[in-house]
Amino acid sequence: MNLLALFENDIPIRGFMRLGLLAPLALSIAITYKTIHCQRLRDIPVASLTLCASILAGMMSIGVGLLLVFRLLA
Amino acid sequence: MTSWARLAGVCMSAKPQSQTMTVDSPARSAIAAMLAWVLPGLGHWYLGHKQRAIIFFVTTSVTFWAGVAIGGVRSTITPRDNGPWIAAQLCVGPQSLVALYWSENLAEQAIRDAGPGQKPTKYRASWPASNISVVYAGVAGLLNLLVIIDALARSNAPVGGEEARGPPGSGQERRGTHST
Repeated sequence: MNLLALFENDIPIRGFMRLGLLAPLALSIAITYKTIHCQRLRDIPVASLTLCASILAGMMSIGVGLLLVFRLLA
Repeated sequence: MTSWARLAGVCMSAKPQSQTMTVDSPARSAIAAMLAWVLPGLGHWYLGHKQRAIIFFVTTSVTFWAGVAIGGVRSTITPRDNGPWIAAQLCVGPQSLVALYWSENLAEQAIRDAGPGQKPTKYRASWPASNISVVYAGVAGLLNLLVIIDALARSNAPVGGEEARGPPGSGQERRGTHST
């Protein structure tokens, strides 16, 4: 029953951990995409991690850029 | 290259008809797509790509249920509150239907617990978890949609040889490869 309760109620996550939830999502997207497109299965782990890092770097860059624009306009 | 070497290469690459399965039927594509929706990765398992099937199943299912766990099923799988996201979430397959039934069941239980004439307290996640959890579950569904499309594309290729062939559309597909 404890396992069911895990899915019935939300998990309280505070502060920076909320932003950290972006990483597993980016990883799942990268793994699925590279599993579809990689010719050899042994290439999937490295390719997935590389793509995941690229996604996270891109998202952070966009976030910083938008923050700078907000600060300039404010 | 000498003619003998060329002939040897041709003999080496020629495969008996029984070792290849080049079944190009709409039924095979439809079955693969349907199985991919029923269980993420099952379509690829049916087509012979067992390792990819396991990866798709684990990735899609973990992403979906992680989203449900983050926000709680009542605020993650709610068609009335989350609008078009439910269409993406349903692409995960029967797992999303189970979560939807569970969410509706909990809502009805809250109505019963409130008693006659009393308005039940609507469940809300304690923090903006519902936004993140809805995105998690929706992305899992969209990823499975990609998996279904990939299963459709691979259903017209020979069975097996997943290590040797390129992804669909790359022009690197090789026919007549050995079955794994």
